[in-house]
Amino acid sequence: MPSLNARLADFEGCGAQVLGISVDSVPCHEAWAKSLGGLGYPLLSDIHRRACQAFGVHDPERNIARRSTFIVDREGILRFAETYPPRVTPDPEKLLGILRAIEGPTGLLAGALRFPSP
Amino acid sequence: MRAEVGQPAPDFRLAATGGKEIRLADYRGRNHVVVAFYPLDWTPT
Repeated sequence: MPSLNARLADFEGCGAQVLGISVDSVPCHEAWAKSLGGLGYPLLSDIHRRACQAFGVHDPERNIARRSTFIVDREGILRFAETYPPRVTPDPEKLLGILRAIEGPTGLLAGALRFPSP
Repeated sequence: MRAEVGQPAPDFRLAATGGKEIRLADYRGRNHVVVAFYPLDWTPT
C-alpha cells in the first residue's frame, strides 16, 4: 500500500517490518509493485486464503481478504487489530503511535496491560 | 483459530515478492510486524 510505503522509514525506526498480504499471486504482486514505482516492503501471496482465514478477515462472499491491519510484537503476541470499511485505508500515524507505545523506553502499552489490580 | 489481541498471532508462511518465502515467526525476537491485509492488487488507494 502506497500510504504505508511513504512512511516506511518511520516504521523501521520503530523496529517494525511491514508486510502486505492479499490473495493475488506473486507475479501479480510484482507487476503491481512495479506500477507503483517499487515498494520498500514485501507483498505476500495468500493464494490459499489460509492466512486471512487464520486472522479472521477472509470475506467468503468475494473470496478475498478484508482490508485490515494487525500489529504483532517481537514476542509474536498480537497487540492491535483493525478492519476497515470499503475505501478506508490504514492510518500510518495511528499505527506508528501504537508501535511507539510498544517500543517506548517504559513499554507504555505493555505496562498498562500488566498494571496490577488494586 | 481466530486472531485475538493479547494472544499469540497465528503464524503463516507465504511466497513473497523478491523470490522469498516469508514466515511470520522469522521476525520473532527481531522485529515487530505490521501485517496489512488488502483486498486485491490495483484496488483503489
